[in-house]
Amino acid sequence: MNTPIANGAHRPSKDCFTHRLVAEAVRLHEDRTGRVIDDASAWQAGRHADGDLEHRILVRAAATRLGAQVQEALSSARHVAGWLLLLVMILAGLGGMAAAAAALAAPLVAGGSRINILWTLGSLLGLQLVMLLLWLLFMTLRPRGGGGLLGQGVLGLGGGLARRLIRGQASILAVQALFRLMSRDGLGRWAAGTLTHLLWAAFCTGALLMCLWVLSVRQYDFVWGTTLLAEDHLVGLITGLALLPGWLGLPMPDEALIRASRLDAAGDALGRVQWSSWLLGCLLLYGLLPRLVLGLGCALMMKRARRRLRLDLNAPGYARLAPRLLPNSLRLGVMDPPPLTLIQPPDPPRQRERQGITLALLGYELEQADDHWIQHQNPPEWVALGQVEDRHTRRDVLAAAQHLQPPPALIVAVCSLARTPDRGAEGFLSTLRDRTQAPVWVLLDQQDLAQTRGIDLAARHASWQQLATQAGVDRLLPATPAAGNPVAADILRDALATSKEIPTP
Amino acid sequence: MTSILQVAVVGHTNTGKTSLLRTLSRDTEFGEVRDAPATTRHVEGTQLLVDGTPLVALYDTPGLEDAPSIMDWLEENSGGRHLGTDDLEQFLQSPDAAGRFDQESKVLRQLRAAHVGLYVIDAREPVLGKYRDELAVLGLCARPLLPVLNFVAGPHNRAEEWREALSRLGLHAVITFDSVVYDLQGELRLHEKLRSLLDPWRETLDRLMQAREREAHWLRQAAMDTVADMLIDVAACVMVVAGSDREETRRATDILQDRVREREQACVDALLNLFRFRPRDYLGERLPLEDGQWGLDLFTPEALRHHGLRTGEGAAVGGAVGMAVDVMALGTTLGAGTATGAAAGALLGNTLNLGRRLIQRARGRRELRVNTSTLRLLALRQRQLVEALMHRGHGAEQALQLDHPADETWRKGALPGPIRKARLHPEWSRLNPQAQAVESRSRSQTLTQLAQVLNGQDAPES
Repeated sequence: MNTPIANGAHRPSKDCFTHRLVAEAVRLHEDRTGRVIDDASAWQAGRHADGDLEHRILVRAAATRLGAQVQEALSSARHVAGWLLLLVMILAGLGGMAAAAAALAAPLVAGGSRINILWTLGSLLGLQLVMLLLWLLFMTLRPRGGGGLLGQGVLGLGGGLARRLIRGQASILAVQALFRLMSRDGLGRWAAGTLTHLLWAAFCTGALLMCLWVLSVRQYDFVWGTTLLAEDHLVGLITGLALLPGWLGLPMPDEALIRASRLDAAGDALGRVQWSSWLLGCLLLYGLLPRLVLGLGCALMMKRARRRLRLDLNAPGYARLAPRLLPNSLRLGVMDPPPLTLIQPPDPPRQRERQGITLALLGYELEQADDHWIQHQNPPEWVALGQVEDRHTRRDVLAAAQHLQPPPALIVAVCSLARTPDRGAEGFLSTLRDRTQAPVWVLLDQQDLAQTRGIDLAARHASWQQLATQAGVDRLLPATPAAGNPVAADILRDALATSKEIPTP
Repeated sequence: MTSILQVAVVGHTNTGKTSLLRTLSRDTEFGEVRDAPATTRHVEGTQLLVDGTPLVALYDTPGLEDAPSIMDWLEENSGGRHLGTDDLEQFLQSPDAAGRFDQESKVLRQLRAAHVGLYVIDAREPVLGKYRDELAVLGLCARPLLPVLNFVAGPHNRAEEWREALSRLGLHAVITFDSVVYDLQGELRLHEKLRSLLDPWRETLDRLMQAREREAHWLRQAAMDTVADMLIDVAACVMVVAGSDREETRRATDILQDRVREREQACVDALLNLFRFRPRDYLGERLPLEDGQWGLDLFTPEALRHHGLRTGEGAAVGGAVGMAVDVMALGTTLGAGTATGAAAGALLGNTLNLGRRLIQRARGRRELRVNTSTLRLLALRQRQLVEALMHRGHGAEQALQLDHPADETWRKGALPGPIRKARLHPEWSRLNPQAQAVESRSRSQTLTQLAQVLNGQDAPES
């Protein structure tokens, strides 16, 4: 289930547009009230849903109480919208019928029942041809808007009606969410396009039916004429228009008939069947058919846009849900608990008497150990035992401390404040104390290093203090975190000067 | 492969193992982090989830503190032979392992049970002998080990020394990953290295890496949208004052400032939530807002100066009104540029309602707006916060500190187009009561453009 966070590739459930609509409605509500609906069971449902963030948001929204209400409102709204669509279609069909009746009922040539064939066709197809061109123009010039004036108008009308008529929070939210989603990814454009073409198709159907009826029960003479244009042009136009219906097998006027039907041509009006079928064929092929095809195309595009529609997960209203719906990690808890052993307070170090005058110095995990002050420039009675770096040097230094002759009066382990005290150090110090007779002091050095590294000196000192106590160290220097940047050797000298245990040479 | 990649995070005490886990799992509350030894004394696990599916399990272990003594123990008990995994098993069975080496044996047992170990190193530490002993003991677990140099973002690190020392021990695949200063590329490199060590887990790690990249991208987008949303709300915010007396204006100004402050705070909260950081007061560790410059009042001239913004931009009226608000008396200044712009915008925007309001205002009502400097400051601060959060590890303990923004785009020149546009649309602002077009398409288009500007991309001028 490795699905992207943004563009979920998981199989959408059957009607996921509705789910998205519900989620959008819930988001609108949350945005308006300024806070997220805190429905524990909905959160849980979302968190336990498989899949990516969007899916979880959908599940969570559907599980809220508001989500259920919106879903309910949607199904009733869909019912109403269906009836509304039917009504508008019928109106459009009636409009078409009226237009056809008007075109055929008012023969424009004086003398009763003669019809100017081109004029009639123009009045039935002209307007919608212009509208079709406009639609195409809008679709290409303004791909974000457009979608057909008629369709936009009907959608707007529907929205306006809904706003005025609908009561109840859930229904209002549902309508608003619908319009919000419609404004995204061309969905609204294709929906409006579908509606536009369907309505014009209804209009054409109405006109066609009316023509059929009128031409069936009344008798007309078909004529045509022109003042400005050459006769050949119109003959060519009529023949050209007749081409497609002719292929369908409808009887079409031939050139002789066309020329014979010229307004001032002598002779009786002929070829009524050919002319009616020409008119009907033109209405069918140039009026109804393109609208049906385009309507179908728009419907398919709308379906596609609906299928591709994703919630805008970047939007603050959705993004804020992510931390609660899509956890990044799942804590497994403690697998191997800490030991239950009581930490026994160590025996207080028994006071050790100094014997002799030498002071043994050793360095423990110091940085720049080679040129550390332990190694040189010290009073002759300060004996350097070496540096503990790893377990071999540790062994060596322990052995040196044990076998130093004469035994030292005091052993000072110089440790670094930059180190985190660990049990290795504790073990070393307690072993050192076990194996020797002299008091063991710990001197904390390299405060400057610790400082530049941004270590909290007080906390670090406290850690060493604790370690010193546990290891039974006799004294920790400096006793409190020192201010400034003292030289460790000076601290040791001062401590020696004030200590009773230590002999003055 | 259905099972989960098991990773043990091991290392010396106080090297930031728990921090690393927090950062990798984006979980600020995992375990306990302190600058002290042995903060973690148990083994605790967490799973990394991608779309709810666990891919990797990480186990936080106590620090190794006394590896040299284990080496001593092993050498004493092995009778001089070359040490091997059997010796380690023997050690783990021994009473000492449950006694004085309890902490260490927890680590070793966990590493034995895992597929791979991340050996966390505090790169500020010198390469001491005890670390070599640790690596020797861990090596006996017969698991691939990937050294991770932590705390490498600071100036005082010895990453180079460590690399050299590690390669001398045969560990050439070393990764630097700072658990406090987060870096997506660093995390991806970490997973890449793991992938090269663990071929059977290639697919799992690929998925994890893809998810991480996607998530980072999404986070940035969503954060910029959140900031842009706030900026539009503030830029479009307008307050109408009924009378023309100063007291009235002053009161309205206070209300406006409060609203803007609240809105900014809401934006900060949203960002912290988005990046999965939480203000954790009870631990006494405060995330940004209360300390440092975040405490600076949005509207003081100092705050503006601190960010290098000029004060008094626009038509601020008098001391009583305050620097941060433009006052526009439409009745008297209908000819002025902004006023005309606003009027035109209002007329074009929403018909009746605003037209009526315009007429009312022409009878001596005043309009208060947030001024340009404040908008610039808001944009700068929030952008900087987003950047800081993008680079903050979830293991970071110190409160966020933001310094002087180095970003010139918002400090100079005209405000970006989308903001100027938003100023003409009072109906876009949530801060205006009964704003009608908060969800309008034009607002969301402007928001997208503004988010692009914030993100450093060029938005088409509209």
